[in-house]
Amino acid sequence: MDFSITSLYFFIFLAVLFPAYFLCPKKFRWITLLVASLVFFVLCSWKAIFFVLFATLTTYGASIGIFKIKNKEKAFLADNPEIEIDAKKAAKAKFKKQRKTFMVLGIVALVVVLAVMKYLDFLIGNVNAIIGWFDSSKHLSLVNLFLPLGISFYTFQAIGYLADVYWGKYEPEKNFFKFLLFMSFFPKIMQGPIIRYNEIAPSLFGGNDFDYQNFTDGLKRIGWGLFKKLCIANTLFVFTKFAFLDPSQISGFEAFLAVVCYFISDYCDFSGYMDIACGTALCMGVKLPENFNHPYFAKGIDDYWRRWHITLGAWFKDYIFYPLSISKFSLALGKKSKKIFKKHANKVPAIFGLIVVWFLTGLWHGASWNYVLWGLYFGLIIIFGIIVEPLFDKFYSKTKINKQAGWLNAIRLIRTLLLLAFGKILFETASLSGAFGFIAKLFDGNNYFGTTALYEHLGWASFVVAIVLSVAVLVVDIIQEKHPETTFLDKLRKIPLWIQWTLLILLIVCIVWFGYYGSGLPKFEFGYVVF
Amino acid sequence: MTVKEEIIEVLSEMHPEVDDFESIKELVHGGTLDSLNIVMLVAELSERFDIEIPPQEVCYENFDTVAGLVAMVERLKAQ
Repeated sequence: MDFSITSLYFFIFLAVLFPAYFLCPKKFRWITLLVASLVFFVLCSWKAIFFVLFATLTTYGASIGIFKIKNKEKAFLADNPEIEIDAKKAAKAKFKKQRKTFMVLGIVALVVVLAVMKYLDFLIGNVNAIIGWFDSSKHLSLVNLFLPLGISFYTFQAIGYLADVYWGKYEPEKNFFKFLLFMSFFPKIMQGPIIRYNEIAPSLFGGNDFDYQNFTDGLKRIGWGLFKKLCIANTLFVFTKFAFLDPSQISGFEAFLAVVCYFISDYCDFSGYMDIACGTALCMGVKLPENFNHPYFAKGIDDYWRRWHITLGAWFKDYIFYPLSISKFSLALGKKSKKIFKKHANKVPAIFGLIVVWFLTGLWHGASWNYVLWGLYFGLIIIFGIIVEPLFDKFYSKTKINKQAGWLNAIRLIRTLLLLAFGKILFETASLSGAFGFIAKLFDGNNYFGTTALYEHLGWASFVVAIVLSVAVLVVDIIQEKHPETTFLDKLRKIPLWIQWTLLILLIVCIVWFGYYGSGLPKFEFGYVVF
Repeated sequence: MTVKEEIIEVLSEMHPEVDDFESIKELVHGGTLDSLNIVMLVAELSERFDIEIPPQEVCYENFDTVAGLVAMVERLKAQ
């Protein structure tokens, strides 16, 4: 059974869930969500349920352990108010060490499972490469384990939760089943967003009442997500997957079109999923964090990564970048490098943190050195930006050029898109040689304007329709970029009702006609599901 | 020099274009301090005041205002 979140079965599932949620007594509504999430797992991938249960049990046990030791510490200090300062410090250090042990054990258990399921074959491949240098006849067999649904997402979520509880940001959830819901909540399980317990708990467990605006806004967002995924991303993927797989079969102009189409389809695919996920949760009053903020309007690569997959970037910043950059080791590294880098040495800890973060970001996106290279490519651009920023500031100051001038921002935007284009080519061609081969194709003058491949694989009509429809996405994003103070749905509410209904009907017609019914083109799984 | 004066001095070295840091109520939210600035600030404050700033202290409450930074440094100094 095809139970993806764009399938008809999913909408039957929602049609049962929504009334069940609101008809259930307020106190037990979260149980409806838990049952729905477990059913969702069973329908999508029943084996994956054991992995989410393991992660939940591990994280729950470790967090309760941290909490109990914290309480022990409080009781000890309350029972011994006259204790000397040194003895008090020693006791605090002892309790802190015990809490840290629970956190580290929990995180290690989570990371080991993720590493085995996602990276074992990558490790074996590397070991085989090393063995091959000495004896090409010997090699270890790959294990080909299945990738449990959503494992990267809920593992990161669980690590963040354990760190937060250890740092005392909030108390852990005492109810195991509520915690299981936090881990397995179905709209975000496949591709995120990566949620934080303190932000989601009130609406997830609160037993939200039916709210007409939330419900209709949620449905509209689901529709918008389906439109992006089914009418645009799926159509353009037909061409881009072929073009990136075998550039020798396309012309230079088709290579250029493939890059443009990939920009559009990649965005519509991932942000389309987010619209469906956020919309589904919103129908029941649960507000998931946004994961996109019009990334293609970014003025720099760092800015882009603050707008694309926002919750992953925020997770890396809070749980890897800061702990690493401000660790004793990094700060000592900064001090030691003063002799070499002089006054710029204070940037060394952050640069060290960035290198690790981007190495891990690459690895998170795929168990292959190509993805590590892809991650480091973005990391190095950001680091280069940090290093040259003072020089640019001096230049602007001397030349009296306004740093925020419109023409300068336009140049920054184009520069960012070009740098991104190389990143996307590197990602899709999956190797440095493949990426350069593809770039060479972009400038290949031989039959430059040939369009045979585009015509044969996608057809002009489907291509033109997808491009025209993507203009609607561009218009919405331009409006939101220029006026971010209210949501697009808020803006929509202010226009006459007949226009709202016309747009809504047009959206439904497009989804049914171009998405479900008309094209006959192959369907593609959401890109981030494999992470 | 008071803690506040030292903090303002460090901030001024990072952002000489800003005249009055105390009037800014959202140093991080408003975009004056980015993650690089925060790490540089932590390194500088750790050295100047001989304190250890753990990751949980890196939050908006402590870094969004000069008053928040002063309160954090004084609390960590007292520990």
